[in-house]
Amino acid sequence: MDNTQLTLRDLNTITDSFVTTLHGAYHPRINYPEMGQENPPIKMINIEIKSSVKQTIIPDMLEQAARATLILKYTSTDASLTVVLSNDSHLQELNRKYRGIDTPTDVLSFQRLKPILKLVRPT
Amino acid sequence: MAEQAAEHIGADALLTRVGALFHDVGKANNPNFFIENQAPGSLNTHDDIAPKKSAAIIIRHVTDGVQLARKFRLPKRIEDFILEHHGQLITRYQYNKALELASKKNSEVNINEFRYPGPNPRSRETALLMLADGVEARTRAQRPHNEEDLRTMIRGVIELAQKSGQWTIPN
Repeated sequence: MDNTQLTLRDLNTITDSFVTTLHGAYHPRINYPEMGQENPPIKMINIEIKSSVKQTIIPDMLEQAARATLILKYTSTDASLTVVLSNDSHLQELNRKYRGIDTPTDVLSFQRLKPILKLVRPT
Repeated sequence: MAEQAAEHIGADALLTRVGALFHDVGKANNPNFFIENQAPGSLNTHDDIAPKKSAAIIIRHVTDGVQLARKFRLPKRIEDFILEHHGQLITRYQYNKALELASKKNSEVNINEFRYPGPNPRSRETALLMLADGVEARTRAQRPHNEEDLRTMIRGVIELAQKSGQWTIPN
């Protein structure tokens, strides 16, 4: 029965080899200890609802959507997202201020380290 | 996985690779009974049948494999991989299920009905395949999340093989 010649050293070598292979194959599933566990990327969410908005808004839903967007889009980097609910003239003002374009807009984005602003026009 | 490890311990890597490719060929006769062929969400065919019967179907992939190997005249050495990659291990899932059922009915379970026919691995290459196969299956089930978990899991597979007498370590 016991006729397989594998030494203890072989078994250690095999273990190491399997670890290496599986690390490669299951790469997306295995968290590397050095990767972002001690310093998870920072995510910030701001929600601004201007008094000019008359529709009923559920802030929790906005927050959930913002959170999902940040987590899915920016897995390993810091990111912040501001949702502004306002009217066209305000959005036009913001667009003019940040991009020099004198029309209303839905989205303004900024490079990392500067705030990321996302504007949603209420329908 | 087995091929890489074979290379590292100085075993026959090419033979291990080819053996690994063919070792489960017997599953082709009953593909729906093997979990890797079951679409997610679809029903697990084993849930409907008695553990003893389901173990028998699973164990058959070894004997079916050998028949196929002979039919297509694969080298004897490849047959060894088919026969030996489960050694005389127990289909534990089915065995445990049978024990559960038996304890309710106060009956007994014959462990040998859940045992692969073997023989136990007779070469380093077939032993390696047994380990790689076991590790792969367990990785899918447990999804280890870090290297530590992975290492512990691999050790568990090796230990199980050792404990059930699949081989001893020469001094």
